[in-house]
Amino acid sequence: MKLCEFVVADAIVPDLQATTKEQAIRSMVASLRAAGSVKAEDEEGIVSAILKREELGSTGIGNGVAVPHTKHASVDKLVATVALARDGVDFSSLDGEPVYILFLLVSPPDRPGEHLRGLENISRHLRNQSFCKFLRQSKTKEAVLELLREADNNEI
Amino acid sequence: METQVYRRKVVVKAPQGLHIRPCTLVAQLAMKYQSRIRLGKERIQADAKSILELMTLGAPHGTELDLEVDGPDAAEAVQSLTVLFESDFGMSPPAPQSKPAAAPA
Repeated sequence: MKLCEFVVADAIVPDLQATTKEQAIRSMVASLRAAGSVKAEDEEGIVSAILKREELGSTGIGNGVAVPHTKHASVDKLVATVALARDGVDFSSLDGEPVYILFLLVSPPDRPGEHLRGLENISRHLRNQSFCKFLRQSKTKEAVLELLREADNNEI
Repeated sequence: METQVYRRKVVVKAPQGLHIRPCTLVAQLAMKYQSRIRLGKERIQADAKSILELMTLGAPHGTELDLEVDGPDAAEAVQSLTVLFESDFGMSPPAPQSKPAAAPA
């Protein structure tokens, strides 16, 4: 599975304007809706489900990264978006640090394997310090997309 | 003083595999120990104290992982991690409220 197969190019948010976890999640889901990957009528339900998941434990996994996610019956395949927060967002991360890179995933409830492969893929790239550094330096959707493509081709 | 390296197989019993929440529980538990704790699947090795590294295992339900612990509190770490893996990581839906026992006739 490659990043470009499930990250929705049009939904990438290169300059996330959010100071709270909820704002960040709302903005990312809105971006998926604007890109046509989730329907307007499902937007609020998806936001609520992601926030509810955060109550079980933050998806701020350390190293300035958060992976908010949910399963939702309205999608028939894994869809995701990436957001970059220049000033960081307080995500109640395990290491107490703000997050700068966010991957938000929505996956069909009946396909846990797809969700797991998506996470595996994202985490493999996020382990790479160069990938994180270049991602944080990317200022446009196109630059982020190009970086994701390079990561998919193991060029970083 | 030489410390013993403990190696053990553990199986992922979390119904949906080692997704973020189980990875978080493993990392939080591993961080309580001084020992170096690794979990491996084939050629992939993960530092059990890093959620990100654990996620790279992408281990679905039923996967057998190699647990390797090395350090002063290795025995305790192996024990507690094994117990965690033996559980379903708290992923089962809550048990239905048990009905009060019927009064004896």
